[in-house]
Amino acid sequence: MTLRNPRLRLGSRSAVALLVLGGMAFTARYLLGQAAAIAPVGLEASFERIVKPFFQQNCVPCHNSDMSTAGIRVDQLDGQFEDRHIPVWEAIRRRIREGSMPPRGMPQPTNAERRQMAEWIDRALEVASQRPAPKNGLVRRLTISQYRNTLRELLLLEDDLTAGLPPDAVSKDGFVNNKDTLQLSPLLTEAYFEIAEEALNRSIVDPKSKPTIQNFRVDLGTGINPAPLPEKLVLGADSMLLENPDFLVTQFKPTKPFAFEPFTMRTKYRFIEGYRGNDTVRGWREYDSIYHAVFACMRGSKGYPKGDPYNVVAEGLLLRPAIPNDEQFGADGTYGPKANFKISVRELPEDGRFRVTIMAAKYNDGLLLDAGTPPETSDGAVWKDAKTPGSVTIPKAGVYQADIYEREQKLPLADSTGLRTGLAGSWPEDTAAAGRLDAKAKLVDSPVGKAVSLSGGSDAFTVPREAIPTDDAMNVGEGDFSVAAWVHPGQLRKAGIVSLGGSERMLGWYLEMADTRGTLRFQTAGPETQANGTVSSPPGVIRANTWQHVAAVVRRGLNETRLYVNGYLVARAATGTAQFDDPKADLQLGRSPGAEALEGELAEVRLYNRPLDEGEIQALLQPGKQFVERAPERKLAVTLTLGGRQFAGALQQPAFLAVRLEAGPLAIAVTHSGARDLDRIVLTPLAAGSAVAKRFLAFERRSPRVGVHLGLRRDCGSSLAPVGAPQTVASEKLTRFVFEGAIRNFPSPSVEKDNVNYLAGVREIGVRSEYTDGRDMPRLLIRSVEFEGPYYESWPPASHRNLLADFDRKNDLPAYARKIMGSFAARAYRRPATATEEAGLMAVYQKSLDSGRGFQESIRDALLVALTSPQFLLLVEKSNTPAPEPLDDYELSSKLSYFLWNGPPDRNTLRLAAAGTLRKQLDSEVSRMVADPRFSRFLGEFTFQWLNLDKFQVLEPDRKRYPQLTRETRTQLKQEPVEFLQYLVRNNLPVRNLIQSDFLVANETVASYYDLPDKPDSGFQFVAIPHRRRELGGLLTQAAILAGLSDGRESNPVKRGAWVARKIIAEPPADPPPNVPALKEDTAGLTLRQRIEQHRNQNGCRQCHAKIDPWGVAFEEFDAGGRLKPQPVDAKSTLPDHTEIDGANGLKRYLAEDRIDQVAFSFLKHLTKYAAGRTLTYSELAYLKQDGLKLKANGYRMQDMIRYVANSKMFLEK
Amino acid sequence: MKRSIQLDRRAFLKGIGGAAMALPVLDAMGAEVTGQIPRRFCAIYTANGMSLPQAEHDLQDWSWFPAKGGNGDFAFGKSTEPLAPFRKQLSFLGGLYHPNGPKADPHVCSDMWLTGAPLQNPKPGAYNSAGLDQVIALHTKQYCRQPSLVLSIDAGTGYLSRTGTISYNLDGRPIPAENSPRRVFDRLFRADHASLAAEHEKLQRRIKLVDAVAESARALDGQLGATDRERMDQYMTSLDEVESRLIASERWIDIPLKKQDYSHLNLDVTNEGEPAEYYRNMFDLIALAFDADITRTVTFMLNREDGMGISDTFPLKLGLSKTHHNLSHATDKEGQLQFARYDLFLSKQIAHFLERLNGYQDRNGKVLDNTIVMFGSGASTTHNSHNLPTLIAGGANMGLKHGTYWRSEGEMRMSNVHLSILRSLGIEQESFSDSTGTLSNSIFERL
Repeated sequence: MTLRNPRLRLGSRSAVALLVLGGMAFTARYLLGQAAAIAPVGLEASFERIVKPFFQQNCVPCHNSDMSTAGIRVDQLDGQFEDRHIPVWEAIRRRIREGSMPPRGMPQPTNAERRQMAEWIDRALEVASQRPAPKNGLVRRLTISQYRNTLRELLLLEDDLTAGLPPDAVSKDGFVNNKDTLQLSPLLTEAYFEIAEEALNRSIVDPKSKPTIQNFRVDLGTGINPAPLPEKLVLGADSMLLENPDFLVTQFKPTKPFAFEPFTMRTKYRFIEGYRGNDTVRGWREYDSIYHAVFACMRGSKGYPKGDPYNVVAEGLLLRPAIPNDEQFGADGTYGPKANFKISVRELPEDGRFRVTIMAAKYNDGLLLDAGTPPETSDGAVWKDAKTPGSVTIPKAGVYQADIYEREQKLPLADSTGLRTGLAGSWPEDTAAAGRLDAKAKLVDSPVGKAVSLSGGSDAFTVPREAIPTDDAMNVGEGDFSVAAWVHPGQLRKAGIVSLGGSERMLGWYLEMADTRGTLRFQTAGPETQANGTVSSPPGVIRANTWQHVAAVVRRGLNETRLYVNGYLVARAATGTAQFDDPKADLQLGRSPGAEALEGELAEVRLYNRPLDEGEIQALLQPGKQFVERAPERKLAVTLTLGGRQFAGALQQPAFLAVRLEAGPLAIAVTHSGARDLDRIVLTPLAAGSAVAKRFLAFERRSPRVGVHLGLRRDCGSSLAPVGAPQTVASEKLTRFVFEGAIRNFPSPSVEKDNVNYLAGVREIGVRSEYTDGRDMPRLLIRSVEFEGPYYESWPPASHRNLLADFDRKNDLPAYARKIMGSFAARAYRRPATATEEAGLMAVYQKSLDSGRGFQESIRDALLVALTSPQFLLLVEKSNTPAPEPLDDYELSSKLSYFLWNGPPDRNTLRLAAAGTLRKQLDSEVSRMVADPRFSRFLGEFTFQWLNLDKFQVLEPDRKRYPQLTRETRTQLKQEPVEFLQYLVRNNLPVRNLIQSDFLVANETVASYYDLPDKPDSGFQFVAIPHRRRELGGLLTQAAILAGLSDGRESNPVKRGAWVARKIIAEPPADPPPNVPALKEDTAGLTLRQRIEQHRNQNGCRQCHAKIDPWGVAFEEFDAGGRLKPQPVDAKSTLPDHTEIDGANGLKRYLAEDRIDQVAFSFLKHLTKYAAGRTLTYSELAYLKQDGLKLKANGYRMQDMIRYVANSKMFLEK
Repeated sequence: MKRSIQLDRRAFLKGIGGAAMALPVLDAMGAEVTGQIPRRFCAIYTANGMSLPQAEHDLQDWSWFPAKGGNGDFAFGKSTEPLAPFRKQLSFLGGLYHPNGPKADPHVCSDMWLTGAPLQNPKPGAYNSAGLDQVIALHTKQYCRQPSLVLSIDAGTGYLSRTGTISYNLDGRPIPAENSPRRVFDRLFRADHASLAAEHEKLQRRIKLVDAVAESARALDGQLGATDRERMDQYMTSLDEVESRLIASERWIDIPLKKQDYSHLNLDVTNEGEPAEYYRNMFDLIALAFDADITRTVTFMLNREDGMGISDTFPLKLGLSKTHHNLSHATDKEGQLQFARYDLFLSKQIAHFLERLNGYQDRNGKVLDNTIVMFGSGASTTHNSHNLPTLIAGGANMGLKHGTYWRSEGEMRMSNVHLSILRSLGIEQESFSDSTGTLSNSIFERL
């Protein structure tokens, strides 16, 4: 250590003392080391005599510093027989015994020589297993997560300030809490200062100041806002806001036991940038309304598979489970789930805790019936006139099926009598109003007459306005009109058919193909590019490479713009009354703004300045009658109202809904969107045993879960993070649900305050009915969403009072400071501070005070020193001699709590430590800690690291092969091993369950992933579920393990094998040697298994792989997603001890029955390393292997093993 | 702590334009800080990609990527012709991409250009990840006055997916950019006394606290007995390093700036005026800041994605037919040519910057030879996040070998370029973002 800065060197006296002490320690350690190295003068001497000549003769030629064949060198080995060389020694012994080394063809030692060598190694191993490990105390720094937990508990501060810290390094055993890998660096030390300063700034307030509190509520429901904003609100591309009258924003002043300033949201804004569609518009505009500051917003809700994703009803907003988002741009999109409801808000506090309160209920819902459900045939209540609302009488209370019948669509007869009336032109053959061919456009003959042929690019057929200047028949103005054409697209993509308007969606109208899915669309734009209505068909109505007739009939102002394909009505919606005419615009065939031209042909393009009737459209079809096919029909979107309840969904057949009805009169109404009309509604009581009734009863029992999310709006969606866990909404009565968090821990837009973009810096509070696996679920009713923040229960807040505690002599500042310092240091250092330490902190305080800083600032300075001192940052076990010493009680309390809670000891443990009784009450203290909620931190950390779940976390599965491995599903599957272990520990079950269990611990998502027949209705909560599936149970076949050990495409027996060897049976394979030869290229046609076999059969690979692959081959029945492969697979394997097994089940049986000691040892070994935060020596491992056997009598129970480790000398000695 | 030399910075500032005092910089700083030859980095970003005309338009000469000759040789296209004089000091890189780019909304490519972060699904609380320039700043800040300089056409940060800065701090939060030449100049070259005093005080307080922590550590050390001290030693060494950095930062405050000629600056320009004049002055400021070793890492975002901000209108101001974003979407011949003409305009600005850096001298050669300049975009053209246009200039003294058009076989992670830059700057990181290694057999010779 060279210290450039003399003032930082340890004081000269203590340095000398240290030197002396250090020297003594060195000598003692050295002597002990000598003793440990086996009073083994004998070994060293015999090494020279027996081993060295043997090596020189047989091994060194290949295994030396120049040529370390297979990564092995023997020239470094000596009679010290160091721990780190033991794996090599063991390998040498095996090879010498079995005669596999030296390899065939090389000169061989005699049998006697082999025996002598092996016996020497046996003896040395025996010596090594007995030699005590030198104990010189242990100094570990807190891991990042321990540091985070400790800060939070010490300061009562929920903000996570550690996000920017570099992650801890991982030890060879997979743990991040190993003392040797927990390095310190200037970067980290600097960060400790920054974080401590920030944390103290946030914890300590000025008690005399008044906090500012923001509190507002958004109420939801049809027409709930008596004075809605008249302007239409827009929040960017794909903006789907609730209707202005359907939400109401109110700001409050909450009741608090202290004085505060209520925060009032800004309503006046001035923006220069905004959006229209996907285009930026610039120009200063001024706004003044709370509704430009708070929006009730939906996004990403298109394409919900069953029912509407959301509906606003009088009681509030109804939400279906929020299906995780679609893939966008080849990955999980950012538009959020469907339905993604959120309150978008310009201003929220930047710091502090917040509380979101939801008033919600489970909706008394009906079950939308799946495709294929037959209509009910028996008599029931019938409403004959679906067009008007009315009332029916329900005979008796019960579950009913509602069947809705459509009216048949009849096509009229062709009527060509008036087809010349109101005709502005007919192209391309119109000679009176001739057009011109642009770019490579040309005229061709077609079955429906002369056609324009276009090849995309800039091609078009343009009819200039001057062509018919006299009566300007193209000017549709504010009136009705029709446009019709025969079209033969070469490919489906966004392209115009006929348009009359400027470029870039300026004033005019456009009949076009909307996308690559065959959607016909009619778009209009009024003056100043205000959208005036869009009418879209369902996809699939336009087909490529065939002729079809398209027509748009526009009756302005009515809900009557109709689109026809081949004479069939495919869409119906309103077009506004704006004036569409742009005298400068020409009529264009095959072109649409912002898109390439049509690739294909167009004929008989007609423009009428009056609406055509359906008979006339039939007449226009005649020239191409042979091409006419019925266009696919969109399912009608139906909203059925029964009493006060609404049920919306697509009508795919008459059978629509199963619903519970009361006896008596029932108001009934149905509305629908879509081109066709409805006929009648039939309500039939269902027999109790009927399939639909049973499904309804199961449906009715389920309860939605409300989840709150907080984050920010993005133009391309949202970044939202969950606020706590979702809560079950079981009651049909409105109930309060409270969600709390620290606002700093959520994504924030980080936008400068004076940003002039309308969409910049918008925060979002998402509210969802959480999705698990897509099962039918009663809808979640949200009545209101209330926000309060910063949320204080008292002032000054708890974090402040925690540090600046009450004191009866507050005027005696030095005494007060001493009191604060003493109590803080004791908690921060997890033991009473020494007098020197306290004096040091007081000196900091005093110096700050002397330099002119105030009392609180000076206290803050002193606390900052405590928070950056090694006493806080390091876990120290002091040692006086190299001999083992027992931990002192405070050291033990920290060791225990960082083991079982990954955080600091609580008051209870510290009290036991102070009383000196912790050691005596160790077992009961372990039990208490295991029962505490903080124990889940141990489960998370230990399970994740032991089982290498990071591999699953970063897995990028092939989405085509494993579509079910969505991000959300992976999140739940990753939790499965943790929850499984938690269940085993909490119930103190035998270790055998790690290998084989007749239950899974799963939630709805996980159970669905495994296709369990008995799926729980537990939401995200993991519960134990018995199973009878041969391939399930235990850890080894969990998807997070098997998929994590794949590349996301193919299963990988080598990775799986190495994992089992390392993690489950504690026979870790040697590290792969450097320069592993690549697999040969000429193996293209082989399966992975064959390629691996080929690899294994190469010299130099065989030895190691023979100990790895057989374990993994047993899992070959499982694919890279961790589920059974559809076809039977050969998973027979011969294990290293020559046991023949068949598949994972065989392996599990073998492990559970023949090798359970080894499994228990592996668990104990990992647990002990994690608990002690260090690597174990060879002798400790040998001891553990032997001593751990005493747990066998009771079946190696999980909690017993934890208790065993906490009582072991590896844990208790330093 | 006592200081042997008290320097009056204000007195020095009065000397600007007149005779500045020559002050013993080296003596004041100590050789450990100033003895080092600066290694610098400058990232220059242009949004919406470059013009890569479709083959059918017969505009190959106007493609931003140069025509490739044999052996890495190349011919400048018409839109990069102004850079031809710097052929031996620059290289084009092709085939680069951020694996997280294609997964995300194409408009986040400016967010992730220097970070490579997976922005399609940011972690709770996270916004982005650390940017290359800030990782560099972490390692260079103790050697210069300002850790970094963050510039953009529009001030501030913009917002996620429509960012107005390309710089992200170590927590992944955007660093607000500056865009006013006058404000940048005043801050960098004419710091006022009050803020200096406050800065002094802050640093001194921090130094005192570090001392107190060291004292506290000694108290602990006294109790340790025979305990293994490896970690304590590491702690003390780190603390020592932190203090050294603080002392260095504090000393900077009193060191006079290098005497420079500012006469070519026009500090009245704004982004509302003539684009070329604006860019020229911003680049001149960066060059001056490098020459005076005020900072060693700079980002400059020339324009913004997706029609955001003032720069979208620059092509119109230059007499081209459409806005920047709309030009980038052009598929017709004329549109693609016009987009390429805007590339030409940008090339001229970059050429001016490189010329300036060649005009300033470090002790071991031109400033450009000690500076790695990266110019490029997060999209090749029209939001396509593959084959990111990338030009790297300078850094000859850091082992960069130029004059080539390097293309990876298959696609290459942009983060590997970032890591290569870090290594060239002498920052021995294992990895950067999602890097898988450095760019072997490329322009980075000394990896």
